[in-house]
Amino acid sequence: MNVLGIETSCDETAAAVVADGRHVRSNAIASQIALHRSHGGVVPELAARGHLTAIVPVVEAALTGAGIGRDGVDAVAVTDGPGLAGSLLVGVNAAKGFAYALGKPLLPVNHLEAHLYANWLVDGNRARESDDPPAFPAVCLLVSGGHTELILMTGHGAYRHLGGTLDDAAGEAFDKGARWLGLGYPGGPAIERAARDGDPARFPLPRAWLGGDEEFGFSFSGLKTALRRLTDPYRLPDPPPAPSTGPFPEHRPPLFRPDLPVADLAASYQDAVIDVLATKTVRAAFAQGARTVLLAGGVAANAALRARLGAEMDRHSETGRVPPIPVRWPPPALCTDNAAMVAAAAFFGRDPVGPPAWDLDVHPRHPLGSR
Amino acid sequence: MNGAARFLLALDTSTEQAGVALFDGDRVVELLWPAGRDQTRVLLAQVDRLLGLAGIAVSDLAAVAVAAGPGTYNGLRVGHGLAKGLILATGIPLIGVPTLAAAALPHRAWHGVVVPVLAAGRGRLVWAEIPRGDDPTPPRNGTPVELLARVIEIGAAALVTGEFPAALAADLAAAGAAVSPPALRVRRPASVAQLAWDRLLAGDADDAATLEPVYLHGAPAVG
Ligand SMILES: [Zn+2]
Repeated sequence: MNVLGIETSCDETAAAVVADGRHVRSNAIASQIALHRSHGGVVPELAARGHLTAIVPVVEAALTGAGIGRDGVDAVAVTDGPGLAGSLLVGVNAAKGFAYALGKPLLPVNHLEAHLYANWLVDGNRARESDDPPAFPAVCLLVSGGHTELILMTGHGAYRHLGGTLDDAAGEAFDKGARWLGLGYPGGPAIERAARDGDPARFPLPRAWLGGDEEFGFSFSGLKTALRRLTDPYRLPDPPPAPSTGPFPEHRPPLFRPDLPVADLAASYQDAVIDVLATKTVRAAFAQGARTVLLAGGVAANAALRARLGAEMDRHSETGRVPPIPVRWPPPALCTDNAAMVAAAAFFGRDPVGPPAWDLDVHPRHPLGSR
Repeated sequence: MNGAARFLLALDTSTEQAGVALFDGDRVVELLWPAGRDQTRVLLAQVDRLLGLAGIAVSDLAAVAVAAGPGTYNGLRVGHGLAKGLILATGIPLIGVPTLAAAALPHRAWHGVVVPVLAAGRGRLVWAEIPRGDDPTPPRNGTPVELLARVIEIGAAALVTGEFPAALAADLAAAGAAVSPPALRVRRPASVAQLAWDRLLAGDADDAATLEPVYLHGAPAVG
């Protein structure tokens, strides 16, 4: 069964064809990173406009890449939330028109659920340790620019929320940190690059361990403030503001003296973020008796996070004399927003012969597990 | 309807007054409704109903037309998104029609200057001026007071139609302009269909990939 997935919830216009929920036959993405870079983050109105001119070529590329015509599509899956309303509208309506005209089922997919299902995809170009589907129960760490969630998955479509962020998402913390270090957008990859030659122990930045009901919760706002306090002494005065060039404000990065210890600050900052993420994920996995740990979301592409998670798993299993729990993550291209994960989630998540959802709406604030 | 006929499907989600129409160069079937802000939920269901009323299938469609704005940004995105999905699945032509031209169409025979108006949200109005037999001026965006001032300048040659508050209709009439009656002020999707049909016959269509709405004066600030 070939599912055409469509994803336009934020700033990537994506379409993909996935066979039987696992085999990626095509994965087309038009990224808007260049469009938003000068603004230092995603401008919702620009994102929505970008989707509208990208959607036709992207869907065509997904069909061509899969080597199927329109008639080879058995169902159409689309992200209906959470996300930016104006952006979601483009994908949802295009998916509706496509499915309706072909007389095929239309399957709405929760974007968070889609990220988790990236772990079910088998990428034809990459040899994995195992092509077996992840075993339940799974503890999932979903980390992206919009989300930081620890989720217990006991079966397909069965979720329990273990904890989430009380303020910024992990990816947002990276974006803001990168902005404060003058490293540009998107922040996660920029900080990871800058941290490579840095000493993560040089600046002891705060970790919010929380406790009680928030045992598996996260908070990154204090960390951000601490970083700012460290960089302020190196800050140069802002140049006078340039005249505005358009309706969308330009982002003007702060300027620093050349002796700002960027590499050590980036390494220390990254370490503070991934330390808490890895430690809490491993604790949750053992506490819940998980058989798999799944990483998902754009921050899952961070190699330092993966390495720390592995090390923390080994340490925990040695101390407790218990076998380590296998940790899995999708290939980098399937960690960030894409439509293959949307098609996979639709395949496993719901009955594909349900009634046509021609009145499907967008749900910008959809929580996980809601239908 | 005759199964061999080929119809153009027109979508108009430019403002909170929405509509869909079928047109084959002669016959019109159309639905109009006050969509409010609920365009996504209703539009495709209405298209389905329209095709059912006309007794035709998607395979009977010759082209899809969409009102291209100006209008509310999210409203326009709903119409364009659905139109592009239909085009992707069928490969038929896509034609964008300026919404103000559609609003003015019923008064094509007016001797003077037709001034079609759209409600742009937050109390603002968008209008153009269409002298008889001439091209429309670029859309302008302003307050009801600014529209009134412009219509007073045009004088008795002006005929104002489209979406505007009833209080403004009285002021416009008092200023000496002709004001289209409410039943004719309603923008009809059949007008979008007819204007698109003329282009279809001329072999003229838009690029489905690059067609985008008319965005006036940039956009709201970063949200
Ligand atoms: Zn995402």
